[in-house]
Amino acid sequence: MSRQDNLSLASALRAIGLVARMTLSQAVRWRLAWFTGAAALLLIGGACWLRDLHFGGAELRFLLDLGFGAIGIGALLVAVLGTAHLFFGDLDGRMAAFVLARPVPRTSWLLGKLAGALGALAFLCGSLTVLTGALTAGRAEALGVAWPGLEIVRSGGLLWLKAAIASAATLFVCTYARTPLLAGGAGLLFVVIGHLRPVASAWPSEASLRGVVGAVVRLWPDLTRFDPLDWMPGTGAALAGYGLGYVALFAGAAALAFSRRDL
Amino acid sequence: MRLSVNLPGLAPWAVLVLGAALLQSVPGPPERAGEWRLLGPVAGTGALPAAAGGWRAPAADVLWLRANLAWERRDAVATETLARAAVALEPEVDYFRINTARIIAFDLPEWGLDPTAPAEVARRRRAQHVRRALELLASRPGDSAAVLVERARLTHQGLGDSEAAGELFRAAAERPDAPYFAGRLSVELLIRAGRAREAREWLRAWLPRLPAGDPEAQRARMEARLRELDRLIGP
Amino acid sequence: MTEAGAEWALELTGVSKEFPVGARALDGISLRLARGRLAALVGPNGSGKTTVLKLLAGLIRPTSGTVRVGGHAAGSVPARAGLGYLPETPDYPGWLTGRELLRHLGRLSGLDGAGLDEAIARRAAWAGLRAVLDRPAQTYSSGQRQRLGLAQALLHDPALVLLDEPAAALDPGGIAGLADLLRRLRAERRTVVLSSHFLPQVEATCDHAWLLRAGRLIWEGDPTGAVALSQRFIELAPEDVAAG
Repeated sequence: MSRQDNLSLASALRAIGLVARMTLSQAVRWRLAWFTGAAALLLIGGACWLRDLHFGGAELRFLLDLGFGAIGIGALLVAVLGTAHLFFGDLDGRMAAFVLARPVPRTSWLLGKLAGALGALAFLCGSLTVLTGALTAGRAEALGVAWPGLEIVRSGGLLWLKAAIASAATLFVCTYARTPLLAGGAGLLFVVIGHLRPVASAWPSEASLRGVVGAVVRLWPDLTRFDPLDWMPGTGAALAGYGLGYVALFAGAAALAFSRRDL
Repeated sequence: MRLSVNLPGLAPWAVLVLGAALLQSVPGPPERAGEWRLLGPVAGTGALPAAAGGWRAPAADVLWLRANLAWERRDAVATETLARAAVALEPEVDYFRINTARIIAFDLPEWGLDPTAPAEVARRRRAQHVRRALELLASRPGDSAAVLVERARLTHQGLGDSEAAGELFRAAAERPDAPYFAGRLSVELLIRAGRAREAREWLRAWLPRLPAGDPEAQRARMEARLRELDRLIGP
Repeated sequence: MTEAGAEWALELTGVSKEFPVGARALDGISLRLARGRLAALVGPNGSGKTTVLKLLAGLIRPTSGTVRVGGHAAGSVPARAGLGYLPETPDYPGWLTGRELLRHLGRLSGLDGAGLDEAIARRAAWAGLRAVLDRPAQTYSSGQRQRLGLAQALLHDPALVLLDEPAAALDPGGIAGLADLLRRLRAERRTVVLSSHFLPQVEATCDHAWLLRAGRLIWEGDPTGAVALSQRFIELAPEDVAAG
């Protein structure tokens, strides 16, 4: 790689960082993200009513399930709708024109948007995971059961990774879509299909059609792999590779598509 | 008619398909296609959409809570349907499987049972339910010791089959997470089934794994039992 | 790139642009401009003015034909390094101050440190924004927004400046200020292309004009020639005048 190439790579990476920081600033000012986070917070906190049901040690399991469920759905909503909002916000608000009329590679801008979105998701998942951990730590002591701290941290990471895939996939849709509504809707549909992969192999009943549907669905990321309850020891590296692989895949495809898009 | 293909426009899709095909080689957990059929009876309750949104675990919890409410009403059909649906959503969660099996085996046969029915009818009814419960606890890859212990208990208490129960307790005792009593029960049940020599040899192999300092393990007592078996059975 | 080609600040050759919905925005136009000149794209709405500017800025690609900026293919990194662009009705994240916006865009242009601060101070003073530079952009008047847009376009001292309807949403005072800014740009020997509906201003400030209609170039020349540009507009695009 020549010095010119090194300089180009360095400036492209710098541009990614600058765009990512700006995107993160935009994300933390997006009201729907705060609303979603607050809703998740209420859900996690409201799970404390379970103590009235006297399930014993299983109550901790229910608390964690509800907590992870709240984090999961909150993160997915922010990932899909937030990514669409951040992308089209720049496009419609002319910021994309200001940036891309400068010597900034389109790929750098796009990857910077994604990096900013993933950073915002990390903040959301991280803070809600800490809250879930704090709530369950107190309850575990009261119930006299072991507090699964490591599992909680790991689950927060898994849920972030799932949301990251959804964000990257939505970004890919954005490069073709003309409105944030279409991109957001397609992103949510992507999430639903990703969770229904176990059903796909059993449907439809027509064998030939099942083959076609199965082939398409098998290429779809299996989002159920990131369910905290499905964790199997020793699979961390493979799961991280699978998740980050799909993030990179959608990001790369989005960069290719965006390079040809009229702004 | 000329067909024009926008090759650069197809590039992103080609990248996606090829890359996704490569990523399928990454091993993942076994798919759970079959169990989704059990959700049919709870269609309309929001369980399936909840599962589709990644809310499988909370949906299972809610189904379990509803099953408990149905249990309090002594509604056998609703209790079993909702509990089985919770198991279908979360088959790896031992809590749901074991407790659903217990409900089916021990609670449901008593509800609606005519108190004037002959003893044989009651016995057959209970045995039928125990078999259904055992189907629910049927062997799956990665079954924990708790599930094996529960199968053993149901086999012994519900069906009166000491030999099969002994084998199940033995399989459970060989797991690292097994309770100590599983091994003790295995030995006694197999002796009762006429397999004393086999039970003694297994005890001899199992004994070194019992920690000396743990009163729950009752190692000294098991050592005494081994000596007793040696005396009774001979070499 | 030939020796002759190096003289041209910009060059469109046989350019057509068709958008996916089937609308033909440009139909085989060719135009070029020497360095250091101030030119205007005029024409009715939908004539293709914004399309030409976006092609030059590299934001869209031609369906056919070639577009070159400073001897480089439009849209390439070297081409974009030498141009500044002000889109029509610029908008900014409301919470950003003018200084923060200029800092962000300046860094993306490769400026940094003391050089960036000096460039921001210079262009803010040039655009008359010193008093409001540290206020959020959402508090700016339309004139101040336009001038902030100009400041960001000129921050990195580009050789070519593209301005899309810079007079839009400006009051008479703002328009007069814009004319002054354009004269200063000419004095700095920058190449400037602007699109405008405001023909008297074009006649007063520009030394070259292109008249577009329905994506075609129907006239080009000195707007202050024997026949005034406004008169040519009436002659060559009577239906549009009638419709307007």
